[in-house]
Amino acid sequence: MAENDSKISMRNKKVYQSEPFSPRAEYFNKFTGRESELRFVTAAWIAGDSSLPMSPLLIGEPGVGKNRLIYELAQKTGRQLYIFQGHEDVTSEDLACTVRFSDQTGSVMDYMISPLVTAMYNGGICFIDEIGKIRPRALALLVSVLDERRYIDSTLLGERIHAHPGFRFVAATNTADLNLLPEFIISRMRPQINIGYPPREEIDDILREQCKGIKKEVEKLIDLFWMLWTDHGGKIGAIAPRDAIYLFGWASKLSSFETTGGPKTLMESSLEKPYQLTEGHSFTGIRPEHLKQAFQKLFTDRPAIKD
Amino acid sequence: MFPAIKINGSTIEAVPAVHYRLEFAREVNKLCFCYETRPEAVAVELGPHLTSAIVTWMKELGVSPLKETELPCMLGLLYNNRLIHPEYQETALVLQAHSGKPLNEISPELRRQFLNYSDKYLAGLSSTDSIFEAIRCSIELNIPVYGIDMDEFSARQGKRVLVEEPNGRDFGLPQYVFKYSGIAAMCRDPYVDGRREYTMAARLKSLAGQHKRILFTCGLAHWEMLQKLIKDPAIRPAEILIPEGSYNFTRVIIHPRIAVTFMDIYPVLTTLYERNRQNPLNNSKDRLSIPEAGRICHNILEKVCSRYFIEYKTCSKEKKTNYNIQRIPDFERLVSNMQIVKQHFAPSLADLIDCARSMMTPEFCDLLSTQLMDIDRPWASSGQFPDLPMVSRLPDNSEQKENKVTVDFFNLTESAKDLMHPKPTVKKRSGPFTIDYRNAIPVPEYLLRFWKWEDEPDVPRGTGGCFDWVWPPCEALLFGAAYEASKMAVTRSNEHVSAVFEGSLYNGLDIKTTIRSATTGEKKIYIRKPSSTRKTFYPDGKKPEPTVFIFDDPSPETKSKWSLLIAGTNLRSHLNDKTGFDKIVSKYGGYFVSSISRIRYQPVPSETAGLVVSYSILDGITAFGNPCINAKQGAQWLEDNNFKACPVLEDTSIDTLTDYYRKEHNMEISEKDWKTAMIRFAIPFAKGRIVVVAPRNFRVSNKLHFEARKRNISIDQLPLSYFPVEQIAEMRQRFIVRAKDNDGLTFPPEAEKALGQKADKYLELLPLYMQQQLRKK
Ligand SMILES: Nc1ncnc2c1ncn2[C@@H]1O[C@H](COP(=O)(O)OP(=O)(O)OP(=O)(O)O)[C@@H](O)[C@H]1O
Ligand SMILES: [Mg+2]
Repeated sequence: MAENDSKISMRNKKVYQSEPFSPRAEYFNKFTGRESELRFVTAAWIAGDSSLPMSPLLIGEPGVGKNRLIYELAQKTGRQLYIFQGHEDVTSEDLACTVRFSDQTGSVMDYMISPLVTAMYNGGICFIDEIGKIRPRALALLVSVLDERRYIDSTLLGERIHAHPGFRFVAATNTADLNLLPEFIISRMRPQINIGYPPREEIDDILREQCKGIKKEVEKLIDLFWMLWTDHGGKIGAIAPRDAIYLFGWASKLSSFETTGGPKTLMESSLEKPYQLTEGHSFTGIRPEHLKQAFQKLFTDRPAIKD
Repeated sequence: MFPAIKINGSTIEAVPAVHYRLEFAREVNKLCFCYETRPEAVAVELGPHLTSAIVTWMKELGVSPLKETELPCMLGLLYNNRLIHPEYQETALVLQAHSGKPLNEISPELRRQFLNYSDKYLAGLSSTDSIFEAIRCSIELNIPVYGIDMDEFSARQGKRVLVEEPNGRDFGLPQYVFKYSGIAAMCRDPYVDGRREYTMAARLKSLAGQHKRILFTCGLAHWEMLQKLIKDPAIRPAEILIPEGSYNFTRVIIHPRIAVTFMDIYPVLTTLYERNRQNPLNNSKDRLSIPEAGRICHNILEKVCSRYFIEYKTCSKEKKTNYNIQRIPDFERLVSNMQIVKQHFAPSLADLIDCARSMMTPEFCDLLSTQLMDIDRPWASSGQFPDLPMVSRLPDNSEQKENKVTVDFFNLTESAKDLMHPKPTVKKRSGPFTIDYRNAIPVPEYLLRFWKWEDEPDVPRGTGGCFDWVWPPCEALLFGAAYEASKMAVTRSNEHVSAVFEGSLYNGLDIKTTIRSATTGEKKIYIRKPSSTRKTFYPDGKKPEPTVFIFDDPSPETKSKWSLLIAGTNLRSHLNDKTGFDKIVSKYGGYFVSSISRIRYQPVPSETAGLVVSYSILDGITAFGNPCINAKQGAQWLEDNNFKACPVLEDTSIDTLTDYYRKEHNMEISEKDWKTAMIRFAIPFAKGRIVVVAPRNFRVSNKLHFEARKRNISIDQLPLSYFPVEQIAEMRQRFIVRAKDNDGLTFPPEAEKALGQKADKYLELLPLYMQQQLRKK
């Protein structure tokens, strides 16, 4: 087996890097709109010899597309993207380096540098997702990364790692968690960019893209969707892309379930004649009833939107 | 060389323009000034009706060959829209089928969102727009001007394309048009724009037969197509046949927050343009020179920063944290990076504010928006144009955070000077409507939300964006008294019961019953006795009855006035049943009248000056039941009573009120006899009775009793003397105080100090239910 090339050497210590994230194209729909947000983050990241890049904080409701925006930016700027997932149990040292028992003969422990440090080392982008979920104490190490010092001290490694000039930083938080962030972090994260719901046309475009196979019917379905949404108390356009995508995904499943013969076929299936779990032509057979059913399931059975 | 077309020996010099950018207006002015290019006629991309309305108005505003003028900033014309774009035909059908309603009954919000249909169009008389410049020059040169576009056409959702910013000094029109007219054309709407261009081409051809040299200006996007069509021999010249039918153009003042939409990137550019612009007949050498937008931006930022710095240095220690001086360089860097990624020569107003909001404290954003909105002269206001209504955007408080998805509503307000107020006050308001801006992409509301306009007309209590509320203790005391009265007043019952004579005759013999008793052999004497089972009322505060107080009959020379108070603004945001509310509002109007009173203004006590907006003494009041101390309480009262507890009007004038009673309740109420009027105002809103608190000698006429009985209610009186004299004197005082918020929820502590009482004094006098309404957070 060839040696893992993610292993680097830091002052005689062999250290494993974190894996960069590379979005797999087949799992992603086409990216739509968000021009001004893309520009905003880009403007914050432009830096040169005499000026440091800024560290934007994206703020928005769940599912509006904060992650997606960053994936897109990483691709557009051609940089490696390292994602650090924030949660309640992150410790201060997790942000820099962790150790684990080695699978290699000859060494007992392996050092694993965090996505943040890997990005700093390689000049990639570090994205801390859900930064608001990390406890304030654990964020202390980040301070020196975010100001003009641009380094991080790892006690475990016994190293100070300075950021590569190409290093860029961004974090995201749900609106609700914003006030959990300590002042010493908030004040260093600028600009603060609100990621609102995309305008209606962008949602429409996302749905059109999703339902490419039924160009003709999709317009009516989209209209119907917005009507259901307004009946339900929502504002037109005020929906997270995730919910919209999910809704149409569900409708599509309902339709393909129907084409496979529906409940009857499922019941009659057997080992000899198994029920097909893979969808055939998704997003092609959606009819208004499917959309209505899916809508009912997803939204109506939940309490109405309050504004 | 200007882009020009020659046909039949005539020359059409064109200025295809980016709307509202002064570079293009300047080109028009130049063309008119140079003797060699001076046109014989002007044609513009506007409908003939709209054009002639603008010409007439500009002349009235003083535009003439003889002098230099300055166009106010900003006036506009508002007119109705009737058309929906054919692209939405399918959607319109689905929408009607789904909602089961015809289009005209579907809410304006949905019509806007699904069909891109707006009730009205607004055209702003913008100095820096090539079209308005061309019209203005035509008046100054005294040559004909033709509106060659169609007057009416529908709109679909606009598309935007990226064209380079025209940049100030080095700007060359022909190069610019050559480079970008093709790109701009990509946002054309083939259906509507195609028809318009066809019309314009045909009309231009006909004009070319009449004039040797024509100046024509239109949007850049039309130019490619127009050139083609004009060259196309298949398109016949067409006269401008002014179509039948009248258009109602309403002249309006455009609120600055909307006006920015019709302006060059920085509002101040309009003033610079006006100051540099010359009547084309004026022969002076120095033509229009205006500093680069970049320089202007630089100046603006410099001023903002130095103010910010001064504020920082002079503010108290605790407030220092509201300033982050050290972040200014980063802010400036972000702004310039933004320019790079947007390819702008100068950052737009929206970009500046967006950057500030994401980087700096609110104090900085405030200073910045104030500076950006400073046009170095006053904005056109109601004070300057008392006869014109003002179109402004309705505040949308339902969503505190910025939101791109809400539909903006607008209304028209008419103002009047009132002796009590230094500034004009809002007198009348239209209902809400939606607007499409001609040729412009609106500057989002949230960007300028915190900018305060000095000349904002003052609003009487409780109307949009208003902070003036009756001082809560005044209301609490008065309504507490009403509550007390409702418990004390006795229903004068005319019903009798027959009873066996037992010693007292009461109301005399009951002959019929006595005879009947005799015939049955009972042989008892019956008398008539007042019913002892009187109706009793248990006022609970949830569905309160109206109460009328009549305090005094002022001598004829001390004139008292009508005053209508309303339940609050932003009621909608405090309601659960928004649809029910919307229905009522769209039917009757947005003003829920919570009381009608006769008041006499008094001088504001000096120690309360600056805090108390007005001070008055009540001669009488019809209170519909709930004090509506703040908007939340008002909203709950309305909702508890299905919005039927009080009159709902389009404005708060007494005429509208009497119209309302005539129309909705078939009551002709004369305001001459105000006491009778007050009681009659209450009748349709009583569920069981009205309590009238009045001096002992006041008699409710039999006619009134009769009218009440017909509606199955009673009018019960309580003598005013039931209340101690001092309490009455205090009940009659009404202080209007500026609250700290729109909804009257909090008042500045200085007001409590100056008035010598806490804002929650007397609240305990109200029914428990009302107290709870106020306690709710
Ligand atoms: N502009 C867009 N174009 C196409 N798809 C989008 C766009 N924005 C978001 N999506 C899709 O919507 C879904 C949710 O996006 P994403 O996970 O980025 O949201 P998020 O804001 O990070 O949510 P959370 O707050 O829950 O982490 C994803 O499937 C993403 O692909
Ligand atoms: Mg996320």
